[in-house]
Amino acid sequence: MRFQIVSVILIFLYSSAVLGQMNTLTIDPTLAERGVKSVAERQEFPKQIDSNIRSTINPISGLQRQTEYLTDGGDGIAQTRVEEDWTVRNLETEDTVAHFDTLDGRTLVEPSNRVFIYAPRFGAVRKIEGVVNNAQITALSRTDSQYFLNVDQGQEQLGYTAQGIQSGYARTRTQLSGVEGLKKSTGTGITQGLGAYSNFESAMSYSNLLRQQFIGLAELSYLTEGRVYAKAWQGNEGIKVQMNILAPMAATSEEGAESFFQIEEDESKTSKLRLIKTASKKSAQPGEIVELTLRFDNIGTQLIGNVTILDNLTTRLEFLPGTALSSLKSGFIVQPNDGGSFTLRFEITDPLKPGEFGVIQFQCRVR
Amino acid sequence: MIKVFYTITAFLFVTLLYAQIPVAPSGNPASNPYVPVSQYYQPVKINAPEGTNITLAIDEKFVQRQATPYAVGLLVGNDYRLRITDIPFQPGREVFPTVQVIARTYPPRGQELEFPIRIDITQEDIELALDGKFVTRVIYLENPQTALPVRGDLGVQISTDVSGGTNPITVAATMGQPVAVVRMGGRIPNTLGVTDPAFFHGSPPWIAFDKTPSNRYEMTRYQSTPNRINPFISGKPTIPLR
Repeated sequence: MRFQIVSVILIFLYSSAVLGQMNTLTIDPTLAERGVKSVAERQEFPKQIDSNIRSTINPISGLQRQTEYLTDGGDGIAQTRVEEDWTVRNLETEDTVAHFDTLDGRTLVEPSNRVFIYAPRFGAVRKIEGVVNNAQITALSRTDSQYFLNVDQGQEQLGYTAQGIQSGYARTRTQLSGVEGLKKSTGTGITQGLGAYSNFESAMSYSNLLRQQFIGLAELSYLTEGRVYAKAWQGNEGIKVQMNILAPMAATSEEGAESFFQIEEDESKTSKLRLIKTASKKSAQPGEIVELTLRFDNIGTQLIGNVTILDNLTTRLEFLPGTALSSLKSGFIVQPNDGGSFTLRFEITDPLKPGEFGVIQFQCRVR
Repeated sequence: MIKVFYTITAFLFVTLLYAQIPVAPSGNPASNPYVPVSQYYQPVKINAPEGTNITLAIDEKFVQRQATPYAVGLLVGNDYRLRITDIPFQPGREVFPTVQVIARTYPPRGQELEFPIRIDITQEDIELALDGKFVTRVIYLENPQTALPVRGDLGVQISTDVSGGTNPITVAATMGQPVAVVRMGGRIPNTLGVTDPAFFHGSPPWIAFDKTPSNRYEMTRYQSTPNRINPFISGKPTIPLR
């Protein structure tokens, strides 16, 4: 008894712990990307965002519609990486990242935040149809209709002799119903095997035998079977069978860490860069100028070098030459990108000490 | 007592089993990005050739003419009959297109009138309709990630022609989100002096917005909160980059 009580308590405690973990289950990656880590936070998510964007939240999915927004910044689906020769891979359109070298020889990539600019643009798909063609079709259909009414349709009615074949079916049904009638009048006690008539295809032979009163109780089962078939063949009734196959469902989940690694890092030697991107406008009409600002901070405790900032502009942002500014000495390269816009590359010349920061600004026209 | 124990154990086992099942993902927002819209007047700006006038109907009668571009609020899902008059090079002639808004937009709060759905009716469209053709224009909201890398502020709406056997809504859906349909053809109102409810589609209600300024492709900008964020703690970037 004591063992049972202890077991129940243990199971209850375990279940409470597992149920508590439901709030920390992995959720939609799109939300996770925005910092939402639990189900509870997901439910609160619409309250955490900017009030101007909240109106675009879909109440069903809880996600933001971004079709009307230009998005720029962050790191897209494929994670940007830098080769040993500083070749940048997987830099997608809309990406904004910075990479830098650490004192211990590593090259790290840091994405920026994303900026959203409400700038819907409308296009049109046009279809032109000619009404003249429709008029021709109407005239043709009238001609065909009159032709068949006068000549062909009459001949086709002769072809309805097929109805005679259908009446032949009626005769068959009549015989079958005769079986039913005779069955009701069977009161004879003569037993004679009709085992050969296990199939209702022999209904005619049945009738002959019945007329001769050779029917008996043993044949009633065959008669009953035949009557059921007859009714089914008449099409008036049918046997309907409905089966619900319910398969037991089981879901199991085994989760566990296979191995543990503990990385001891001296907090006094960290290399970290923070990249913040802002836009001068939250909404813009096509043709308006938007000023984009990138601020990068060395928030680590060590010197970092070769700080390079890459902004792969989205298709509808057109870089305006001559508008790029930097607070630190920097190289600057502009290249066309796959989206029909430009990739901006800022190479900060001097290493960045801990706590130092720089600011880059440039202007774009919303297409 | 044993039965009670096993019952509780079984209940807890089932509870634990379902607790292990992950929460279903929210799904792709693009698959169902819209919800039914009721009683929302979607701002629409209708552009037509310079000099033309547009008239909407109230109670199955066309009311005061308005110069284009004309900004109105239309209920989503309803058909509105327009009358376009004073057509350049077509004196005395008029066309009666219909406009149907099939999806709304979600601009930032307070900026609804700044970002209406733009519907362009060209001189060619009108002349095709006067020539007996049936012109369908499906307006779509362009997907920014697949947008054409061309400027959209040059006064001409991006337009694509499709062949007669193609559904323009299907084509528009590949480019973005269809939001409105304009149909223009030879339909004219009943001239026998009796009402023609089918022609006006029941005269659904609409809202007239402020008249647009002389610049054809600019709406009046209403109060807009500046969103300049000063990222500089000290100093402003001064080194020009070439």
